[in-house]
Amino acid sequence: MINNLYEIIEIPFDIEEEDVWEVMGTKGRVVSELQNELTQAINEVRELSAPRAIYNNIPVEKITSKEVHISSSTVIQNKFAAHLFQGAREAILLVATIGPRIDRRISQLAKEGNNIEAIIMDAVGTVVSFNTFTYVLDLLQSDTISRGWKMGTCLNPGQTYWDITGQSIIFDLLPVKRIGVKLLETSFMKPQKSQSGIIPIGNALIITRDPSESSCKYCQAIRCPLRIEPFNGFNNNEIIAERMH
Amino acid sequence: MDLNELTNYVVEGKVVQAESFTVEALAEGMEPSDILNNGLIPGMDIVGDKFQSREYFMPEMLVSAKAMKQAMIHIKPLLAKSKEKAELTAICGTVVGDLHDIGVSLVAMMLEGAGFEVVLLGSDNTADEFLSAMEKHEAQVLCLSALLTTTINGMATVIDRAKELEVRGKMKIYVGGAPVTDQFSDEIGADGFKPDAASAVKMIKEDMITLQKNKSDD
Repeated sequence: MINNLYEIIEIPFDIEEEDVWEVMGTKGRVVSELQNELTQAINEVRELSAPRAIYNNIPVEKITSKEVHISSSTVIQNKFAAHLFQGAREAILLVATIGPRIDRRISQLAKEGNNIEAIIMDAVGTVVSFNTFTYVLDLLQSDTISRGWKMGTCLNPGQTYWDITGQSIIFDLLPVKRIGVKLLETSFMKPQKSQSGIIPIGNALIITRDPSESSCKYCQAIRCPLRIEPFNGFNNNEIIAERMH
Repeated sequence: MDLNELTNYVVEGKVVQAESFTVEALAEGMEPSDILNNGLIPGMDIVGDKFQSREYFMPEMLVSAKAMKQAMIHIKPLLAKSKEKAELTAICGTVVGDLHDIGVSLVAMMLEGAGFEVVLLGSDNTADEFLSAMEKHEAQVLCLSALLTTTINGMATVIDRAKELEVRGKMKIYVGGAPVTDQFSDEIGADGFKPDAASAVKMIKEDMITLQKNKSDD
């Protein structure tokens, strides 16, 4: 079921060194001894990245306290999703990638024993992947606002209280192959530097996206090296109540 | 020359100084294995502790690894020439279907820092690929990594296959990755789990010391 399918094939991106340091956990401190490796990695990632995205708007058919029905046959069974979707009229299904060439280069570096360079390049690739996804989210939010609607928080499979197997919902409804991304049986996306999500939109949407907020506080991956703020606890109701205010 | 100085260069990530010290020490006739075991490895041990206590983050660890790597450029060929081989070999990789190998690369890098010979298989390895590599490299340690709940069971498959081939007793198998817990590690019969690279390497080192001590007692 494809209602409004869009592909974005040219996505501008920039790589800020401080973002890479942050991904590597320095909390903004610069480690000058790695400057050459970082500069080299940024230059290569600039060359190798090909950010693209695909998205589709699908009507929301029904929302219960535990489920979101986004087509006659597709149901997201997730309480947190059900709360975020309150008042939603449509769901945007989104996948963005920066392409396969960075994955290959990282593997090559690791196989050659250049683990330091591989780890730094992975961090740079993560920054570009994150920025690409955020760029598209911002774009979608402006489009949504221009329609007089509101956009909610993006639900990402594997994060935000949503099991990783939720990937199949997005991939079943979106022709993701068009941007060169495929879903493996294990729910990994290939290329690895890809991100997916479902976003509620609607004129009467209750919980809206705050672009300055990270999704880390709703993500249970406690030991994730990319975490930029703490998990907000295990009580769904508290989190939801906080967001509703 | 005082090898504590070299240890400090590694801890502080002083790449140029660590390399110059090593070159000079070798020129003065110091044994390469002495430089490695009493200068470089103790440095990386301290770095591991600092990483574990969150005093150091990944970049600091990378800089220290870089300092060690630069020193090893001069030491490795001499060790090879003298046929002195690392006593312990580890095979590292992610299990079948799992593409995320950065975490296990970090473990591999730290194991090297701890004096292990490391063979990094990268991502998406079957049980037979792991076990063949163990046999080929006569390795004692197998480190399995998985990022997702959908791939974590690949670890149990490796352990079951090792039992089936009757080689389980010849190796220590350690597991790690975001969804892994102590309970899971116990359930599948792994030898241990730690939540981060530094504590994992520390555990493996301690286990190997105990194992070697038990062997020599026998």
